[in-house]
Amino acid sequence: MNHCDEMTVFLYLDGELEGVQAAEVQAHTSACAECGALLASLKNEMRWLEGSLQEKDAVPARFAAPAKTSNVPWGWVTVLAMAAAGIYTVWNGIVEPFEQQLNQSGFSGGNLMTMLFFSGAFWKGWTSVLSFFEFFTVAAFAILMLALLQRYWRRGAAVGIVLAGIAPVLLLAPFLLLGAPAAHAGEVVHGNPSYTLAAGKTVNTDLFVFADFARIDGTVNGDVFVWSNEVEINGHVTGDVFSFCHEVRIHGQVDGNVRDWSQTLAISGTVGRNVLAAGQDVRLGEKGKVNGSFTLAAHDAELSGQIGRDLMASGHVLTIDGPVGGNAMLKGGYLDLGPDANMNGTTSYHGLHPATVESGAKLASPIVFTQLKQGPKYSSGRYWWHRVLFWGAAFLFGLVLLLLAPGFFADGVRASRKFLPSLGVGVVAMIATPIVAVIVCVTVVGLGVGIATLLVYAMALYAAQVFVGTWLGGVLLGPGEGTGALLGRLALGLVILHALEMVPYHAGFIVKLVVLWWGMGAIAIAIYRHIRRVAAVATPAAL
Amino acid sequence: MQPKMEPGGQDAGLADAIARAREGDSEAWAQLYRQFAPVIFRFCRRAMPTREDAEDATSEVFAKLRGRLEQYDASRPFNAWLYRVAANHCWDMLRRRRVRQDLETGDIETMPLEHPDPGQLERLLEEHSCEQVRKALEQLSSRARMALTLRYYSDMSYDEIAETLGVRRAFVGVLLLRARHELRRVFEQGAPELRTSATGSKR
Repeated sequence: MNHCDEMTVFLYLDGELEGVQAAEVQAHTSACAECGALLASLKNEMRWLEGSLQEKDAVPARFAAPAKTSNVPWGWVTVLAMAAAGIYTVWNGIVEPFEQQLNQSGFSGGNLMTMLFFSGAFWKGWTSVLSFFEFFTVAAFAILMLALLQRYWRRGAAVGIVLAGIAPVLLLAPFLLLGAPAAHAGEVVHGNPSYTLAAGKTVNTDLFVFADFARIDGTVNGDVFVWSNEVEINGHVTGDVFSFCHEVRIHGQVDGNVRDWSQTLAISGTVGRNVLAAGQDVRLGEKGKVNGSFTLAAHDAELSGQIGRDLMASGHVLTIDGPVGGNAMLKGGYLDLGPDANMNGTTSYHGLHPATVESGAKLASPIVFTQLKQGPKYSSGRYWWHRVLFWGAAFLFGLVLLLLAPGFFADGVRASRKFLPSLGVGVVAMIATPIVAVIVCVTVVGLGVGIATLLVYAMALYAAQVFVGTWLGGVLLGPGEGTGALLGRLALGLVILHALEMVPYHAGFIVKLVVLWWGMGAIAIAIYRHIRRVAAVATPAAL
Repeated sequence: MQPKMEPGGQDAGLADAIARAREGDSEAWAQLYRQFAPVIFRFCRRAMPTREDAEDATSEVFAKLRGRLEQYDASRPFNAWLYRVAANHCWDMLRRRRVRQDLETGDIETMPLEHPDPGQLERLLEEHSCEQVRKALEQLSSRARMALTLRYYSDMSYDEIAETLGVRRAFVGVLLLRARHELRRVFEQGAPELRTSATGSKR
């Protein structure tokens, strides 16, 4: 027999040769030294492979000894608590002062949340139907949850459970939002395409208008809610006016408040109480009169009429050419006080350019002007010191996250390696999460869930840079294992990200936005993976 | 060796745990996880090119197992069944990516194999640690890596390997031998860290 080829010897060793063939190989290899050596070395190689592959090497902790599922996830709890603390700080530092300013300027309502959601006419329409809807929603929610839980329990698809939890809320939210006003003793009109309440006619309930063009010449003994392209109020509204429109013109009389989210608001009539407006242009005509306070945020604001109490305005160009009864708190690019301006209280102005005061303007006290500077002050040491502080805060946050939730951290960094999926998921998550959270909040059932979601969202916004930063550091320094290596990468990545964010002319802003989306997406993917893993591993009792 | 199967010889405790886990007993499921997660992770670590892939795959295999436990035939060894599920999952993952696939299906099958020099092969075996072998697996084509893992880690038969990889049974031997050649090549000309102790003495 000729020498055996390697394949034959290999198959012989694996017991894959037929009887006769096997016997031949056996005979030859015991006689031929060369083929015997081949047989021996192939056999050794096989053992070497088995030994190497079957050797028990290290296994990640979560596979080696799974966390006892009854344990409290302290990492998550702490991170959430930290996020809550962060939110509290932001609230204390920004929202509350803002709210106090609102109060100072005579704006009704003590608490911002209450004001936005529950106070005033927003809430009024609900009270009568609240108990029914509350019951209905809770019951439907509970039944659906139970059904879906039972179905998904054993499959462990926690995502399914979460979706199952959100779905009914989403389904019910529109009913709740639209149904509430409908069920309230208010009149709901849909313009076809326009709506006119003719002069001399009276509506004795609240009025809800959805129309292309709405015109109210008559009297409404209640509140008016308008969603319309254009609105003109020439008649008399005894309650409040809420408008979400392109253009709103008030020539008539509103006894209550005006709350407006429109591109243009023009008032030449009388508003009995306060005005809150956010839009592009806000104008109070010469004949216009607001008995209460005026709070506005707009690009251009021209106030020639009379304001009874405080004025709080933020905008690019602010023009005041009429009497203001209370204090004025102004912020903007330009401020112009016309000849008819009459500031009876104090006037404070934070602006890019000093105020122009025309002759004839009356001021009870001099303007307190604070110069604002556009863009970062690269020459100031304070600016750089702040950048370092921001970097340190982000690093500290990342450090805590890494130490408390290393698995989650690793998941997040891993997810950020996939740029496009992360970015896509991030854009969606960033837009959808607050919407869902607010809807959940509004449906009363989920106030706690909604606020918790918003907290996690705020935390994720901040954490986005941590994951992208660690990824970036990893790209530059190469992959590394262990806490120290990851921290090094995090630190370097954050330095670069923060440096890029300082680039002027919007480039920095774009970097910031991309990092936000990207990191958000990575976090969303990591959370999804975490949930799935928990579902696969955890005992149902812990879900 | 721990990963080896014990055909039909499952202990009563395991059989009981499987039965209870099927009924939805979470404690039993946790027990199975504790017992088999390391085994499955090691399988995935060898079959997949990166550690991250292996971690992902392990989680996914367990997520899958939970739903599939009812399909398990209790008369057969549990270990072997686990490997089949894991192998199918990993192979699916790799195929979906199509990394290096062109090389695997085309050239390699027709490329002539160089006859090995037993002395050189013996030296190669002596000079490399188990860890280096596992490290070198990462550089193989997906199919070669998978074949070696199925055979030398999971102890699968030619029939099982053929079924998992979707090839004819007669081709399994060729696949395995070629995989071994590929591995030898990695050591001979591969990354420097795999040749640490060999650099001086080789060739």
